[in-house]
Amino acid sequence: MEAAGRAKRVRIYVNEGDVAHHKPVQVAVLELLRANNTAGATVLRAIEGFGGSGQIHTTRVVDSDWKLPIVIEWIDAADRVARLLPALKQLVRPGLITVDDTEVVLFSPQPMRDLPSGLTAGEVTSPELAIVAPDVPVREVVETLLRGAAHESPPGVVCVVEGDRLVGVITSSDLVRRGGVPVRMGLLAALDIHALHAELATMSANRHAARDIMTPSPVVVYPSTRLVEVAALMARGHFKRVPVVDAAGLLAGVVRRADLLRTVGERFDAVVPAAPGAEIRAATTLEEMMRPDVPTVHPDTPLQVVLQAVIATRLNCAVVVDAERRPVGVVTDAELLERVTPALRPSALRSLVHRLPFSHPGAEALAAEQHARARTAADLMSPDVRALPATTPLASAIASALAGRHKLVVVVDADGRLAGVVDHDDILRGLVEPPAAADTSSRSR
Amino acid sequence: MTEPRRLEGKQTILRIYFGESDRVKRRPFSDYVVERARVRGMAGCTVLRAITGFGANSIVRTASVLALSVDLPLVVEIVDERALIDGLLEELDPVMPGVLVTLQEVEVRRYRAPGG
Repeated sequence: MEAAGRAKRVRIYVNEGDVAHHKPVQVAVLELLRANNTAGATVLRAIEGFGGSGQIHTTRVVDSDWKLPIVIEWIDAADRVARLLPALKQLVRPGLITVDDTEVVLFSPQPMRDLPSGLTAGEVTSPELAIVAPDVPVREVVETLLRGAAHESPPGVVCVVEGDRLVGVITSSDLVRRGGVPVRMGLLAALDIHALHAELATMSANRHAARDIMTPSPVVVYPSTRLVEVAALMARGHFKRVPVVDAAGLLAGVVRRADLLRTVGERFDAVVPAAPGAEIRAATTLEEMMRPDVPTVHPDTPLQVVLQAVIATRLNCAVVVDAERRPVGVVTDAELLERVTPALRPSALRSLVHRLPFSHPGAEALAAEQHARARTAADLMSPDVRALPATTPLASAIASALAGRHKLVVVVDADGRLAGVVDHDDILRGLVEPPAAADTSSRSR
Repeated sequence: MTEPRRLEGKQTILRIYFGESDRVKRRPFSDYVVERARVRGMAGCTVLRAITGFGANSIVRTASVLALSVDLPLVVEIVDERALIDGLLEELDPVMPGVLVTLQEVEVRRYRAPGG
């Protein structure tokens, strides 16, 4: 549904407990509508009613089976309603479907700002795909992701495909939350070959299959979906990747957040000479989007304290600052793992995984620490810190955010002192959300 | 006492779809709409809470035990004369959250204001 105007209101009357495709019918209907990028739907539960069976369902007496009537309301453009009605009819048996005309006076799903509106998902779709069948074990899913990580443009998400249909996606966080995998993929990839084999061996005992841990019926976009809509979806859901399916429902690729930002950044640059900076200067600055609460350490901060700072927030990193609070480096969890000595790695990994204080199990580890190559923040950090002034517009920060290996831009004030940090997620949100709605206090990814 | 409102005949139904977390100056948007409709002497106002749903951002909100009614969809329904509804919409316009607002013609067959 594009904007205000004439539209159709579809009402679907079913009973709680009715089943379609082995799920509650309202879930099946919502999934169908969502998978087809419809404008939205609302499910209301009645307190009493009767349908074609003549049996009255009510909350007043103790209804033996509590199968109360449910109304699903869906408002959308007439052509989309006409297109999806046959599929809806297949799901709603028994039930009642009514369609009437309605006038939409306001439809404002997402405020959009400054994103080039002509671009579509098809222009940034990456065909690099990691695909598994629904019944493969977790270990194979992990291996598929690790193999992909070696590519120039890693897919970063595993698409679960049954027949030719996309039935779900598995991200690194699905593997951690539901698959029993102890750490996110970025950390697994940082392990050396022996530690990696040890982790993979424990995963072999894991009896979950891809089907059990995937996010079913994921949000998808079409090649024709406008990039502003893709960006809004990603910002709202904190997605790093969104699968692209073609008109026939076949998987065409994924849109990656980094590619989207890059494309947007390039177009911004192209706009500059034509309209002298008007669009870009109007854009949000880093100051409005940055997180000021970034953990900091000093170059001589010892390993344990650095680790503590890194696990303190979901950013999984800490900024190293000098005595004047000028940024001199960044330590991320993956780098930390790379640079600690092998003997310390298991306990460092354990700390990173469980977000526990770093402790030494015995004299052996203590001795290992004495000989560790990296004992302070200065040894652990990567010094190629990219600092930008807080007044930098987001549009010109994009290139910087994409240039290095960190997904992080360090923001400094006029005196070059650390003011905050901005990651890809923040930049995307800054591009699609007005500053007032941007919530910098509580983010989770 | 003022004359009891008469509503029979062709009228308009206004529906506003939004989320439980939408607020106007820290007050729930639903409370605010009900209050403004009352102050304006509108015929009535009903707020319905959905059990699940999704908006244009494709985020499914659900009332399952896991996500205990954190931000469920709400629907405000008001049946009244088109002019009164337009007036209310005008007032709500600056505080309207990112939502869907629809109007539809309905035929009112019976309306009895309490005490009327």
